[in-house]
Amino acid sequence: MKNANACLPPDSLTGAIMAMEGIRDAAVLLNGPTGCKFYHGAVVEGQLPRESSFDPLQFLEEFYFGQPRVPATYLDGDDYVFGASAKLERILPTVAAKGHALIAVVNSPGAALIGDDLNRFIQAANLDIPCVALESTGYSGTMEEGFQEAVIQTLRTLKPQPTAEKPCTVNLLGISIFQKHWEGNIAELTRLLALCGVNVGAVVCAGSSFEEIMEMGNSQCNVMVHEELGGRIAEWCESRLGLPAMRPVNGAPIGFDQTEEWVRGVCRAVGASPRPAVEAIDQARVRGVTYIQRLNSLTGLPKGATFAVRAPASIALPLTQWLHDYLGMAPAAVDLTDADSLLIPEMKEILTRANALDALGVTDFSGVDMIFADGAALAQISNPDGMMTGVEIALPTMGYIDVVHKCLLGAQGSLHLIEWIVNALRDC
Amino acid sequence: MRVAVYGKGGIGKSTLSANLAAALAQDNKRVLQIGCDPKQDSTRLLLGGPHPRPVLEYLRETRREEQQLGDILHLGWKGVHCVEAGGPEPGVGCAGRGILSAFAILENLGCAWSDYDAIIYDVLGDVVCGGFSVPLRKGYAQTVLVATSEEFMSIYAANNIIRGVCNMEQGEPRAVGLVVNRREREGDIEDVRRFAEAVGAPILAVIPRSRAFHGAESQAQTLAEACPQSPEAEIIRNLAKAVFQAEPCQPRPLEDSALEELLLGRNFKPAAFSKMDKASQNLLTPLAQASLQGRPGVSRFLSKSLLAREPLHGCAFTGAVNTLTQIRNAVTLAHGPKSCGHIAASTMLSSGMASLRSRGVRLPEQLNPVLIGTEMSDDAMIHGGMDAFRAGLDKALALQPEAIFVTTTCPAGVIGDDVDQALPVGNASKPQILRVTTDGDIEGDYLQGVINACLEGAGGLIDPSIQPDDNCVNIVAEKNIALNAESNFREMERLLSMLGLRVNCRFVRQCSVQQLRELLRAPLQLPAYLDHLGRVLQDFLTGQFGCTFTQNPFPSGFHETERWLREIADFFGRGSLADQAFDALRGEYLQAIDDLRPHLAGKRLMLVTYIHDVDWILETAFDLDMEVVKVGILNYTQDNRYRTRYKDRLTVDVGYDPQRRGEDIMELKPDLFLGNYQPSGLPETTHYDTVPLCPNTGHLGGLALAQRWRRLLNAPLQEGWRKDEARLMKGEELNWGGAS
Repeated sequence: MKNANACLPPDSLTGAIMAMEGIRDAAVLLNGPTGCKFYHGAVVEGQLPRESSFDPLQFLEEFYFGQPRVPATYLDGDDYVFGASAKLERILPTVAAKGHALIAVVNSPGAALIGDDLNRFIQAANLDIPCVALESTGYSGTMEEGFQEAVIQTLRTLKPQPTAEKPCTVNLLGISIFQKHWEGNIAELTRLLALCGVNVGAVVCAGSSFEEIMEMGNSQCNVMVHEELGGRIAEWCESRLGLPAMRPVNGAPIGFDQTEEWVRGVCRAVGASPRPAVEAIDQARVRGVTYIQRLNSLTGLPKGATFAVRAPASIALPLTQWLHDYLGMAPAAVDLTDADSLLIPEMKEILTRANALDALGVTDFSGVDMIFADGAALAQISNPDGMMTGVEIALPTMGYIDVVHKCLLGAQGSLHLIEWIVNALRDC
Repeated sequence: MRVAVYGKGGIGKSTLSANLAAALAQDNKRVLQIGCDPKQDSTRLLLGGPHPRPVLEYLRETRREEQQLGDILHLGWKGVHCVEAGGPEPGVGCAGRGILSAFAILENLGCAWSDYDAIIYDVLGDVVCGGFSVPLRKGYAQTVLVATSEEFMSIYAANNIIRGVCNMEQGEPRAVGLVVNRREREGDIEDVRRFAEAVGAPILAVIPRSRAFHGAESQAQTLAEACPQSPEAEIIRNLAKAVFQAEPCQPRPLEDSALEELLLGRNFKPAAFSKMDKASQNLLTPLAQASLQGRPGVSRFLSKSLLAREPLHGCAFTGAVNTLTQIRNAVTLAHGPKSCGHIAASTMLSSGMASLRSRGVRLPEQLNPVLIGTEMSDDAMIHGGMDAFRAGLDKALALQPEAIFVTTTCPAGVIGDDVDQALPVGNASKPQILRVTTDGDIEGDYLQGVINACLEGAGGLIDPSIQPDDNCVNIVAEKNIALNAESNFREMERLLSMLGLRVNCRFVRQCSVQQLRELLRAPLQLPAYLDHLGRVLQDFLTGQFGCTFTQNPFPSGFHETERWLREIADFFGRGSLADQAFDALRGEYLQAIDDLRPHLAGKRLMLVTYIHDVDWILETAFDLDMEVVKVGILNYTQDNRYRTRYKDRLTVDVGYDPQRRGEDIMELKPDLFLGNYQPSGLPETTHYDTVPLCPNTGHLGGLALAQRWRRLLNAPLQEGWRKDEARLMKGEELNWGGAS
C-alpha cells in the first residue's frame, strides 16, 4: 500500500482557542465535548503554564475533568438534541469564580451546529468580568484564520480605545503561543527594541494580559512578526483604532540581516535610533562567526550542506534565505505549511537564485543533512540517524522542554541556529 | 409498506397519518406509526389522548442497559404500535439530530421493521436538514405522501419536499403521491392538479374540509373509530389502498420561478418534460428490493461511562481512530472537519513521540497514522458533506489499501450525513470497507470508540473459516496510548518464547489486515488487561467466534507471572517447558527480593490509585515485608471492578474520596504514599511517588518500583525546591520572558 502523510494540521478551532488562551489572564470556556477539550487543555498548559500541579485530583470539579485549563460543557448525544442550556448556565459562574480577567466562550464544531445562543447565557449570567462569545470558529479553516478571527472578534466586542498615547511604544502582532519558542522570540525582540528605547505595549494574544490588550490603542503602531498570524488583525486595527502597522515584506526577523532590517523598520516607524540594536546584532555576528569559522576550517561546512524546511512561509522564506546566503547551505526541500502564502514569489526567487526551484513542495526529507521542521515531521523520518540533524522549529513538539528560553528570531535566534547547525554538522 | 408523510406545518399530517394507520389496522394490517415531530402529538388519536413517553426523553433518563423497546413502543387502537420520537424545546438543541438518535435507538433495541405490514413516519414540516430526511433514506420509506392544500404556500412547500425526495433518491425511485387536504369547503383545486401534472406525481386523495375530523379529534379518536361509516372514513380507506398499491415514479420539482408562473396563472409549459419523459407520462419503473435496514454489527457492547451514564471522557471518534490506525495496510477515513483529525492524530503522535524520545522505540503506526480527513467545510455543514466524503473515499481508495475504515465526527453526525449510502454495496468489495460507529462523541466516549473499532472494524475482518494452529496465541486488549505497551509486549513475547509459542496477532495493536483476517489461527487468546475493555473483547470474541481466553491477564510480579505461564503451558501441554522457565525466573526474583528486603521491611505503604488491579504492587510490598496501611481505589473511566487476592491482608476503600487523603495520611502515618500523579498540598510527613496506570509486566514488574522506593526513602522528606514551589503557589508571576 502506498504511504499517506497523516500529519493533519490544526484548524481554525485550535487557532481560536490558542488566541484566547494566549491572553495571560483569560480563560477559554469550551461549549463542546471533552474530546475537543483534553487536547487543547494539555497544549495550552504546556505552552503557557499557569498551574503548578498536574495532579488531576486537584481539578476534580465539574467541567474541568482533571485539567486546569479549558473547562468544557462535556456535550454528549443528548445535548446535541436538547441543547446544553443547563450546563452553560452552571459553567459560566464556575469559571468566573477562578478570577480570570476575561472569559471566551467558544463553541466546538459540533456545538456550533445546534445553535445554543451563547450571548444569551452570557447576559443571563450577569458576571462581573467581560465575556466574549465565539459562536463558530469555522470548519477546516486554517489555524491562522481561526486565530485572527478570534482576535478580531474579541477586539470588536471589547472595543479597546486609546486613552493616553505611549510614545515609542509598539504592539507585536502575529505571534501565537502555538509556536515553538514563542516566549523566547518575544523576549529577544523586546530586548532588541528596548536597546533602542522602544517599548513593547501588548503582544496581542501571546502572553499579554487582558489589560495590556485593552490598552493597545495607546501604542504608536503595530509591528508584524508573522504575517499569516497578524495580517488581518493589523488591517482591522488600522481601520478601527487608527493604529498603523509596520509589516516587513520578507517574513519574520530570522537571520542577522533580516533582523537588522526589522529593527530599522520599527525604529523608523516610531522615530527611534536603531544603532544600539544594530551594535548588538553585530556583536552576535562576531560570536556566531567564531564557531562557523572553526567548523568551516575543519570540514568546509556548513557550505554545501543540504537542508530541508517545513514551516509557514514567514519562517521558511527568511530561514531559507539566511541558510543559503549567509551559510552557503543548499536547499533540498521546502515544504510550506501555508501553500497559499503571498510570499511564494519571493521564495521562488530565492530558490531560483540557489538553482533549487525544484526543492519547493518537496516533502520527502530523507538524506538531507539538516531538517528544520515540526516534531512530527522529524519523528516520521525513518532513518534514526536523521534525528540527529533535526531542528524543531514548530509544533507539535517531540517533547523537549525548554526551561531556558530559546528563540528562532532576532540576533539570539541566529546564534541558536548556528549552535544547532555546528553541533549537527561537526561530525559529518 | 413504509410511508413517510410530509407537508407544510399545520396542514394536518398527524391527523392524516393517524387516520391512515387506523384504516390499515382496520384492514388487519400490522401497523407501526412513528411520530417524528418534537410536538409529540402524532399518535394521540391512536392512543386515545395521552401523549406517550417520547423516545428521546426516555433515552436521556434511562440507563443504557435498562432500556427496553417495550418502554417506548405503545399499543394503540386496533393494535397499532405507536412511537413518538420527541425532541427539544423550541429554540434549543437540534430536532433533526433527535430524529437520527431516535431511529438509531429503535434499531438498537431490536425494533424489527419487517414485523410490520405498514410503517408510517409522520415527519415534521419540511425536509430542512439531515435529521428530517432520515425517513427518506435507503431502507426506510418506500412511499412519500405529500400533504398539501390548494393554497400557494402549501404547494410551494410540497415542491420543496419533492426536491428533497429527489435529492435522496439514491438510484431507487419511490412512490410519491399528493394528498389534498382542502381548506375550503368549495373551490378550485385546479392549482394542485396542474402542479401534480407538472411535477409528475399523482394525487392519491382529495380530503374535503369536514366537521367529521374535528368531531373525531375532540374525542381523541380517528375516523375509523369514531365514525367508520362516514364518507370521510371511506376516503381514508381508499387512500390506504392507494398507498399500498402506489408504484414508484420519478417526480421532478419545479424551479421556484416556474412554480410561481404555474400557480399565478401565467402560461406555463412543462418544458422540463418531453413526451418521452417517464414522469410526465407517469410511466412507472419497478421498485427495487428494499435494502437492508440498519447496519449489521452496530455495537451493543458499551463502555463503562455509557453504562454508568457518567460524563463522557474523550470521544468515540478519537478512540476508534487511535485503534484503527494501528492496523497496517489499511486506511482510516475520518469524515469531519480538520480539527477532529488533528486532535485524533495528535493523540497518537504524542504517545508515539514520547515512546521514541524516552524509550527509543519507533512506532510507525503512531508516528505517521494512516488517516485521511474529509476536511468538511462551512459549506458542507450547510449543504451536507457527502461530496467531501466521496472525495475522501476516493483518496483512500487511491492508496490501494486492503481495508478502509470509515469513521464520523460530531458535525457529520449532527447534520446527518449518511455515509453508508456512499459505500459500495456488498461484502465482496475490494478493498474491504468497514463502517465504524462513532459520530464524534454522539455514540459515546473514547473507550466506546475503541470498543466499536475492535468489534466493527478489526472484528469485521476476521475470517471465521480459518483453522487453528497449535503454536501460537493472540494478544487482546493492549492499551495503545500506554507508554509501556511495547516494552510490556516484548517481555510477554519473551516469556511465550520460553514455551515455544509465537504471537499470531495483536487485537488491536501493530497488526496487519491479513493477521486480523487470520486471527482464528491462534487457539488461545491472552488478554493484556481484564479491565472493562478486556472483558468486552473477551465477550465479543468468545460469543462471535467461540474463542478461548486465559483467565489471567498480562502478569506483573512473580506470582502472576508463574500463574500466567502455568495456565498457558497447561493449555498447550507444555508443562516441562514451564518448569524450566519458572526455575530461571524464580531465582532472579528471589535474589532481588533478598537484596531489597532489609531496606524496605516494616515500612508503611499507602496507595491511592485509579487502577483496579494493584496486586502486582501489593505482592511486591508483601514479599518485602512492608506494611500496606490502606488502598484507596478511585473512580475510573476505564474500569469498574476491583479485584485482589489479598482481601484478608489489607483495608481497601473502593470509590475512595480523594479529599480524604490528607486526613488519612495524618492518621495512618505511611512512610510512602503512592498515587498515579504526584499530589500537591498534602502533609509533608511522608514520601510521595507515582505508579503507572499500566503496570510493567513480567516477574520483575513490581520490583522495578521497589528499587525506586528504596532510593526514595533515603531522600529528604521535602526537597529544597519545594520551598520555591510555595512561592509559586502564592501566585508569584511565572517568568514568562515576555513583554511585560
